[in-house]
Amino acid sequence: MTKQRCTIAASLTMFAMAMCAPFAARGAGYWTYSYNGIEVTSSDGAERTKDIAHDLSRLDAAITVVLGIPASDWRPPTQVYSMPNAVFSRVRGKKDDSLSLYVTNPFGNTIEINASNTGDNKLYGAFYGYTGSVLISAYSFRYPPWFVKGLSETFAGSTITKSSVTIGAPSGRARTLFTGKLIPTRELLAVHWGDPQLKSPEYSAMYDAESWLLVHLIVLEGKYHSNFFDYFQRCDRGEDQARAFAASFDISYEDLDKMLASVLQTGKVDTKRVAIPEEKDPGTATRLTDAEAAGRLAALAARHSAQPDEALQMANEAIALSATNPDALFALAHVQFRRADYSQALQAAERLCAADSPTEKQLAECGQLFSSLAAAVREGKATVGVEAQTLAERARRYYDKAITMEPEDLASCEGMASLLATMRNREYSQAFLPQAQKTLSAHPHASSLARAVAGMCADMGDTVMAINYASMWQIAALSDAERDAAAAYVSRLKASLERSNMRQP
Amino acid sequence: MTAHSTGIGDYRRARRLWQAVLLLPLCFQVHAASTVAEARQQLRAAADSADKKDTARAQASILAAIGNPAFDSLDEPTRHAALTLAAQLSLQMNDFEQAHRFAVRATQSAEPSVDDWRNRLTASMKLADRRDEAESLTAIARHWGADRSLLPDATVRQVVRETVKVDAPARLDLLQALYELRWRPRDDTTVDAWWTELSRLLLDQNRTEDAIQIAAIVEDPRDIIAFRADRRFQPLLKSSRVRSNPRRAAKDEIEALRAKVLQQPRSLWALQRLMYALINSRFDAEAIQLSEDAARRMEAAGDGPAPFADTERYRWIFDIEARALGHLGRYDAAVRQLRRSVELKHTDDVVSQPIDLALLLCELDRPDEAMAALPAPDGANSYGKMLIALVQLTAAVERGAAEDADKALSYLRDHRTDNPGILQSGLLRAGKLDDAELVLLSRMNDPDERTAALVAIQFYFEPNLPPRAAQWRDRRVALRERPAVRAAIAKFGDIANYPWTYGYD
Repeated sequence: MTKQRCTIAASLTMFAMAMCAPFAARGAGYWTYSYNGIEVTSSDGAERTKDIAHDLSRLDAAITVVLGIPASDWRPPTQVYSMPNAVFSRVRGKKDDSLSLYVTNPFGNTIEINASNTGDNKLYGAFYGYTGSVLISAYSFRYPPWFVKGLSETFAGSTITKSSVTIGAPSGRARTLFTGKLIPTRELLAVHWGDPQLKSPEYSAMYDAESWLLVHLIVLEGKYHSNFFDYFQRCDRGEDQARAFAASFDISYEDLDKMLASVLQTGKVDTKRVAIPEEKDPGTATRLTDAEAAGRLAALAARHSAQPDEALQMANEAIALSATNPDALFALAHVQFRRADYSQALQAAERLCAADSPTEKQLAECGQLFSSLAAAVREGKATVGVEAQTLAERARRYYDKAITMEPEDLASCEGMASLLATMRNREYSQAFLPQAQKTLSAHPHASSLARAVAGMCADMGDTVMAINYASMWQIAALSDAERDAAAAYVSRLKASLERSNMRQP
Repeated sequence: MTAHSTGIGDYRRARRLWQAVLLLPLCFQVHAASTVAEARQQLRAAADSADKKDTARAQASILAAIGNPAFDSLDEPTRHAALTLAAQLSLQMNDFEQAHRFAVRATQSAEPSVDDWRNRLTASMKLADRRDEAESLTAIARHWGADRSLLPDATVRQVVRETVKVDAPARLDLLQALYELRWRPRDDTTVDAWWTELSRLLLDQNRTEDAIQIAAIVEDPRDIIAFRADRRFQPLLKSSRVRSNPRRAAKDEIEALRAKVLQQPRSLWALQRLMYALINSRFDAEAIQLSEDAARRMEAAGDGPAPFADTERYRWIFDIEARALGHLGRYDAAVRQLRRSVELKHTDDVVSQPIDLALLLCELDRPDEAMAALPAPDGANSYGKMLIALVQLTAAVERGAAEDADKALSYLRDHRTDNPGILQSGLLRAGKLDDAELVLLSRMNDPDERTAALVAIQFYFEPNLPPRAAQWRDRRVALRERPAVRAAIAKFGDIANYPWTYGYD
């Protein structure tokens, strides 16, 4: 890793150009390429599609080096969609000036990129999203929002070549730092997602820029590095922020303010160049047929769009191109479920799951769809002419096959454990437990899987094991809300165990 | 024994004594073992009975176990389980003092559960032990509060309301714990008044920077008026991070609510909030228009699917429209709309609209109709009961029924702590300006009530008023001009003119 010094204002023009970039042509074809757990679907041509996957993989390697994450650590599979502006708006169900967004869940990340952004930093959004998702889903504790934002900004501006990644080039938001008034760090550190100050565009811009600068100084220049990481751990344990700060630092918030001000006075920050060994990859991106592309995009919209009706339209268009395309059928079933049209959802699910030799992905999706339908019927939300138990039984069989084909499919394992906790069939749960335990041993970070297995064990009456898995859930929880829900669950399980022990002679 | 004992007798007696001493530990052990076994047996019996829902028998057994001399020698987890069960059973038997005693002991265990704290909170609320109520909710918030299901809106609101008078450290801890969670009701309404109070408590401790940080998230115009009205908040206004312009805040609030209505076209709640904000900023015609649009949509739907997802809120649309009509001097139309809102079928709140109708009829000097409109007080909360008494008082004054007026005024005086502002209004309506002055001065001298008293006596825009209400307004103005009141205002705060009502009309 080598260090360089550069001026903070360097990339302003570049960023401005990116924001004003004209839209790319519509209706382009789509390619797909998978590399190191990163699957890219892109309208940018075969070369570019492959490059996106490679660049993200190199970025991951650089993040690993800079943050000191063990290289062997599991990363959730990442799906990247790069599409023209019109499609980008359509799959999200909203029109705005976003360049990209990322959606993270415990089992995978989805990054959506507006390919019509033709600036030099075209992958700014993808790098931003990827960094954020690594922090959220592949790390051992929960960082505060300013750090997640700042780190994402820090890596988003990376320059990637075949053999290196250069991190830390000044953020495009640097101008704000010179023209605006810095937020006192006491406040910056305490701002929550959704605090009203962030509604102000000026405040929000300064918050982003200052978060970038502070993270840059901590991570790339090592300023108060150990103090901050001690502070993060204390906050994560639920300590009051001010007390955590006092315990972790021997300087005041005002001293941090002075540090930021003096860096701005010099106008210089360090960059780091991380050497990445070039990997030979003879693979080429595959061109998707129109029906395949439409199916993938419809499935994306079905899962994430803010406009289910528009997503339904996309699913129907995809089915018009190919009535048997599994992505299109999944999209239809899923979006109908979201629209609470349960009978239609069941019909589409039946069509998807009737395939003669379904793939693991299809089986997993069938498990998910039938499990959701079973829950809707059980809760009295849906009447589809089939009993909840029958639907649940079908879901179980799909999940079982999917997990047999791919034991590392964490989402299916979680789905199965959650399903079994509701089916109250001790025999099934007992049979699945060894597989669940094996998967959890390999993936202790999979918080929702731990939660589901804890629930399944509790349902089986094995409170001790339930406590173990609920404790795993508590440690791996992705958010404060999840952590506290896990803590409450653990406390209740322990109380239940104490009460059952009370009966012992 | 004779006076002359033989040596043998002495020896025998001594031997018996030694035997007793030597055998004592053994006897004690036997006794203790049997008592421990007995205590365990009692615990088993309690658990079995509790499982069979035989609460009385379970409680008898658990009390016997806890009262057993061997209870303290049981292991800690068993004692904890017993205390938890005892608290739960006592709550079921409505023995709140006993429940509280056991819950306190359970929360002092090595690993108290979330339910121990919930039991303690329930018991302390029933016993009106305000300090313990605050401490219990603080503990839940600090340990598990990010899981919103553990902090139900009604409970949190009630505790915050009831603990206003607890000592400052307990109150500050409670509000701080809720602030750190950025607690908000599920309906997304503001609780900025709590953060305003928290800022004030911090200012009382000379923690100005902390107070500014808290106040930075306050955006409700009424609280911004509080910052300007109560001199204790002056240090906040020196910070650019704290909002100080209520007009701007009201405008931003309206913008945000307009956006919400567009995003949620099927939500009457969103519409209701927007209409309320509009009438507070004198956009009465627009509020009336929105109400008429909603009515058209409802009529157009006929027996088909309702155009709104929360039609139970429909009555509030008419209620707010009536206020807008009143502002414009269209009193007959206002009465008509309020009568419509009363007639709409609903089950969750059967008092709000009748009270609002009765209040309007009082303003219009129609006391008999006001009394006829009043609901039974049983379904009302303490605030509603105060309003009912205010209507009774006003109607009695208008009818010249002195005895009824005294009775209603007695109620207001006896329940002063429920809402001293309503008592003050009642005294003005009864023409008792000296008494009203005493109440106002006592509110201003009370650090907890001062802010609300100062905010209420600012100069707001006065909409058109019918003669009777105009008379009350004149008395309010006269009260503000009394020398003692002016002196108190000069001592504690500032008076300003606001060309909007902000809900204080």
